[in-house]
Amino acid sequence: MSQAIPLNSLAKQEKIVHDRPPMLAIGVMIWLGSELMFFSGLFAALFTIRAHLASWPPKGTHLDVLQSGIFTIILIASSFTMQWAVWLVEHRRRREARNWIIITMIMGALFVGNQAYEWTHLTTRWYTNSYGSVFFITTGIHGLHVFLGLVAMAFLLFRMRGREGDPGELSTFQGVSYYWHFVDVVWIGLYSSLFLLK
Amino acid sequence: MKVEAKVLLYLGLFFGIMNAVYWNWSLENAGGVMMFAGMLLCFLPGSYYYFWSRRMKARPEDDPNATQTSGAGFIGTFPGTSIWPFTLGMGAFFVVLALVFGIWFLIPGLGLAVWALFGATAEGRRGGTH
Repeated sequence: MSQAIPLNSLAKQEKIVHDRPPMLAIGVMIWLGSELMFFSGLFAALFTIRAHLASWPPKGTHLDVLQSGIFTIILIASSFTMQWAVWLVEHRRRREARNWIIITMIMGALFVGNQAYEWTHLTTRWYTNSYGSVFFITTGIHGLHVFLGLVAMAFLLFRMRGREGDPGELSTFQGVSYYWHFVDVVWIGLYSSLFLLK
Repeated sequence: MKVEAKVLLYLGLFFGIMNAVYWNWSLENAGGVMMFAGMLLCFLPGSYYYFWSRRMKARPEDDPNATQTSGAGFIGTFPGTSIWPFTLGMGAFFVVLALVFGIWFLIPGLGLAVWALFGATAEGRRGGTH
């Protein structure tokens, strides 16, 4: 035990580097592949319905492009704060990383909050027209993913309790970050096709 | 790692080229979107493997003359034995029963599932027994 103390303090300055990809990270990547195909099914439905409509979005649809755009930027920014947290964990600055995770969670929660606001205030409902159906199913499934991302981050904080890290901590962090980036990229696609595409 | 990366990246390239052809000649969108996603499906793990293949040393798997012993060593951290998969499974079992016998089955179902998630996470933290 007497030798463990100087070794430990030396290790604090070093960056954690895996010499091979963690199995968890590979698993997350492959699972994200299945998520990708799931969302592509929704996108395929979206583009098929769009091709059959005279105008997109249909007349009478009142979307707040600017408000959603602001929350889109918040969600994209949360990807950067997440990555910053991963960088901090790699450099063994766990306390700061925990704070940045909380910041990321707040940004994600703001996005979900806006989503809930949109859902309750949009005049187009899921039964109004096919655009409404597509809008609610895609934003709903995506919102569920953002929410589950927040749950995953809460579990990450739960896992990070205590002063010392454990060997599996970084790969768990990376796994959650891959998922979060994926959810962000999907939203960029959804926002462009639902709000911006004319 | 290079071989895995190459297989997936070339497969993605193939889907990309095929998608360009398909998108031009077909008169529908669904297939094109799915094929585009198929391309990304190859690029996603492919680029990840490529990224790793550049920053790690060759593994025993990459060496045709490797022996069993050269693969020995640290692989990862896993819990030795765990009750939580069973708990999670029982939770899922009760959740499905809720579809048949009534919504109140969700109470033990979701309870067990959440308990298992907390338990498994805490177990990962401790690292379990090796």
